[in-house]
Amino acid sequence: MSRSGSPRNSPNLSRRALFRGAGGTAVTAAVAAAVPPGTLRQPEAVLDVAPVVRIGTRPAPPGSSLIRLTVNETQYELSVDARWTLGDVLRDQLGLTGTKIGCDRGECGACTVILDDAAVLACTVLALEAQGRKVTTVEGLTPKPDLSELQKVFWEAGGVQCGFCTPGMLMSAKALLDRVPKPTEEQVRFAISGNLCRCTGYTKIVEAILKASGR
Amino acid sequence: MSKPIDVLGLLNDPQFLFTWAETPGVVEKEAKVIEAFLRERYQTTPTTQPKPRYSVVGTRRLRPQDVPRLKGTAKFTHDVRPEGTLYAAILYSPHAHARIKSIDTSKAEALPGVRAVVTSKNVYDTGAPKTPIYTHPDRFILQDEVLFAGDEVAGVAADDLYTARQAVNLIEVDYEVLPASVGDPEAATRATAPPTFFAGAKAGETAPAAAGAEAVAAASLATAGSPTAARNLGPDFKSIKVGDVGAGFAQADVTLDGRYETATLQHGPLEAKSIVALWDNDQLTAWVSSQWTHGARSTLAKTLGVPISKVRVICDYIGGGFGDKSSTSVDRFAYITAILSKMTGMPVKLHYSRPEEFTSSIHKAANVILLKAGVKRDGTLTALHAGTYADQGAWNGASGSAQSSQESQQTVYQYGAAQFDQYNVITNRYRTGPMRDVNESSGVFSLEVHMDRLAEALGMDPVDFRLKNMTQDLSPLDKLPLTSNGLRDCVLKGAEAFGWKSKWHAPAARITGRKAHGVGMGVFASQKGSQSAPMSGVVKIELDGSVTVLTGVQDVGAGQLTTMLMIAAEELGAKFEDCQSYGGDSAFTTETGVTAASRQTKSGGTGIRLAAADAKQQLYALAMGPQPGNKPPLIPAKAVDELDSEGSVVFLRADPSKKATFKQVMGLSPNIIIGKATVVPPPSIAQRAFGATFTELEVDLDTGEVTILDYVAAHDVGKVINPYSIEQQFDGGSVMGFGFCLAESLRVDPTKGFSLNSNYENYPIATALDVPKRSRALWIESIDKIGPFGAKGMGEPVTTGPVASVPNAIYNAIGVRIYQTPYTRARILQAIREKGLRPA
Repeated sequence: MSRSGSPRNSPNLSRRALFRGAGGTAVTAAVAAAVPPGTLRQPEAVLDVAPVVRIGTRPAPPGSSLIRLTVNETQYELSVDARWTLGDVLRDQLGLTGTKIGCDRGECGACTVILDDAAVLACTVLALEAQGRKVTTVEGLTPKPDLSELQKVFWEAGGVQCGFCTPGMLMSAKALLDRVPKPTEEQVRFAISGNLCRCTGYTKIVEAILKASGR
Repeated sequence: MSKPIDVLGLLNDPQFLFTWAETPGVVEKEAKVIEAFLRERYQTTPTTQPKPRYSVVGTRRLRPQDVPRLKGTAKFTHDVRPEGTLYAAILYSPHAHARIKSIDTSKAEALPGVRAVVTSKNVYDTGAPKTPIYTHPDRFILQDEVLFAGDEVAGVAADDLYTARQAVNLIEVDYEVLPASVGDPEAATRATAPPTFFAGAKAGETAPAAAGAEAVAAASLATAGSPTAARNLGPDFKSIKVGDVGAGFAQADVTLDGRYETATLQHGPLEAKSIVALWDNDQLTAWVSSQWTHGARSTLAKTLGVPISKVRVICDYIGGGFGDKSSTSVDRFAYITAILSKMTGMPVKLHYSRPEEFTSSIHKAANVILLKAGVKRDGTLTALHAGTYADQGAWNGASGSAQSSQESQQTVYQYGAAQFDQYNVITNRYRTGPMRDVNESSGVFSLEVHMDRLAEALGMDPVDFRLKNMTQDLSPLDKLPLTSNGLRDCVLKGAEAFGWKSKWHAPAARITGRKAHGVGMGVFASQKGSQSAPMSGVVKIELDGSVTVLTGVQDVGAGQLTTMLMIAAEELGAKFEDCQSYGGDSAFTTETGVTAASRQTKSGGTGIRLAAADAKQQLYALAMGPQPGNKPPLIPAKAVDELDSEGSVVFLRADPSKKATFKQVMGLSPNIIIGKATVVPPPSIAQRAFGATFTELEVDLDTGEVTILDYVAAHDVGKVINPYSIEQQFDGGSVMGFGFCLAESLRVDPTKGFSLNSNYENYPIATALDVPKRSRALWIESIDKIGPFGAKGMGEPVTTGPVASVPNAIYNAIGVRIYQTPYTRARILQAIREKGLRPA
């Protein structure tokens, strides 16, 4: 029942090879005809050569739009399908898989990122809505190769178990601490009440955030 | 004095162990020797050997695996996407029971971007053998009979997820809707209930007798309604009898009946189930969100018809499991994805949506529990008769869940006589399977409320009632000696820490304004955390003296990889910092069973401890052996048992100044040292974890809201390996347990059987605002006779804890019994109004 499709559907054609074959910084235009929105999944490949990282096709195929957004202080330009959420783009187009999708319906908080200066759920923000705005993900929190102070206190306090809710939890905590440097325990609990965790019972996460605030 | 048996020698003899594992009859004699040894002596075995002093075990250790989790670089199956990955979506039955008359996939196939569609018509075309995929002979990867609303009908692979889901909606199915059993499990056994598959699905046919049908009729609780029909029972009916129950009740001064109900629950791991399948010719690489890479590997191999060696299962990080991703759960979604991958020649990824996770994954079985107990005036229990109806759902997946429900009931008290009837009931509600403690919390809830009622009827303090009847040294049913029992300490120390004597009061006696104050307690025994086969591990000493631990134990977030590392480091006398553990890949680890049932500290940990002991023997032999060029040995010793090690230094016990670092010793070796173990535990060992919990709470009489003010849980853990991890287990496990008590219930439409609350919004798992004000754990280290360094498993007992005491505390607050979990606000409010504490 397998159907063969257009050249892009051929299992023998490596997209990475196609990318390389197109050559240099002009890749985005060169592959426009053959590649659907956001197909190029290796932003690292062009990070060194362009101040604006262009992802995917240009001009955009029907149904998609070309947008610019700033993620972790890197500017990206890519064409997005109107249905794509910010979570889809971060994970599938930019390869930033630290942002997790737990429910894809705004209930669990695993996909929490910071948009400008507020914690938002990347699964319920359309990529188009993030146009021109500043996005910070867990990858942007981490000074390589070390952990940030917030991450360190999470570790020391025991605020991590399976780790799936952790990136979202960290982003909610950061958004809180950016706004309220010395929160009360109640404020901490409220700030992370949209981030579900099935492993920890929250106790040590709350401890960690209070510790990070210096309380 | 009799000659000591060389258990270490026996356990380390690979031939002996192999034959024991494979052909028990051949070595029955040896097995009996060990069993006798363990039973009569319970002296130290190589798996326990408590040390006088620990340098690693019992110290608080942060876990190396948590760093990638914090950085967002940890790769969950959710994050895996090989080049060219296609996305899968599945079509599910909207009916609780139906037969597919016809299925038309042409519109789906015509949708641009769709690469393959699989139904029962073509599922075996790629070469998978058409053999049953489950214990029941009628279960295939896809089939024409669907057994619950959420059963799989077809699968699609497409270029992206949107297209795959759109294609699923274009598949047209014509169903013949069949009678379905979607009521409670006890009702499903009545003669009037619609028959499910075990009872014969064809209309007008007499239900064939399930195994034990006559026994069921005979065993029904005389006082407890009419479960006299044998309809829809699973094949594993059991009635366990100890002593003369009739005589036991005849001796009783007070007898008490009760009917208790618990809800269907779902694990709700934050990462929904996920798989990526990729074929290279006849080799399958599958990234599976799994608590058991080796189990997933063997079930995939069997179902797809390839040798186990051709399948590699990888699960670097798993986003929670709680049983959801254990053995039985690598079923249809995984097989369908692997077949779509084979059909397309491309990697295919399936990641459950949250509603799919809630509906089509597995569930904790709802229970109806009938209890009758007899007691003398002085508080002595004379008899207990328990009948447990466990809703096995459509797939009989939680096989034995009635037994699990009764595990604490069978162990925690000594009864004069007892009878335990187990009805595993087949219905068309969901698919069941193991979920954290399987069903022990259901049995504990019913029994602890029942015991609280008995104590009250006698005017006894519930603590004194427990102390009078609790299990001592022997397991009550089989009369085997327990490997350890810290229950008395749990009750006494827990009561003291909680301040039971000063806090306990008469029911509904402390109402201030709209707040009713209550306290309650309860006890439990858990069979989870038992040593069980297989137990294996590999410990390597590298050329620089550092240590690598390879284990099939999956780190599901409870820090298992670090626990294994600590056990190896302690046994070897290696520095914690010099060791690293690896798991999550069937290609380089050994089969050591599923990381579920709290078993890996004791089972995988035993494998690792024995592997470390094996490596240590080799290291010591090297240290005391001649050096090249006839130089004297690094450490002069006649036998390896004259040596010891700590901090990655080997030394002569009699003269610790004679020493060499691991690095120096390994300098003598051209090869790394590989220590390994594959063992099975001795048969017929009674091993339990015990606990006693105490809850102080407030009930708001206007809203029905419950606020937990204080929770004290005394857990018999054997020996704490990593305090850091066990504290986390307690925090998270007890919060999940509070959820079982107060909030969680997965509901189905009572007539059609479809799911009503398959999402986090309506299936309320606790948030940071819903946790107890104060929560304290006491670790009772009873030193288990067979666990590594005396340890027991603790992942599930911490979850069972709350249900032992919260319902009794709510009764103590409002003076009305509620016999059904969860204790929702609505149920509590109704009880308050019935009591007249507030106007209706």
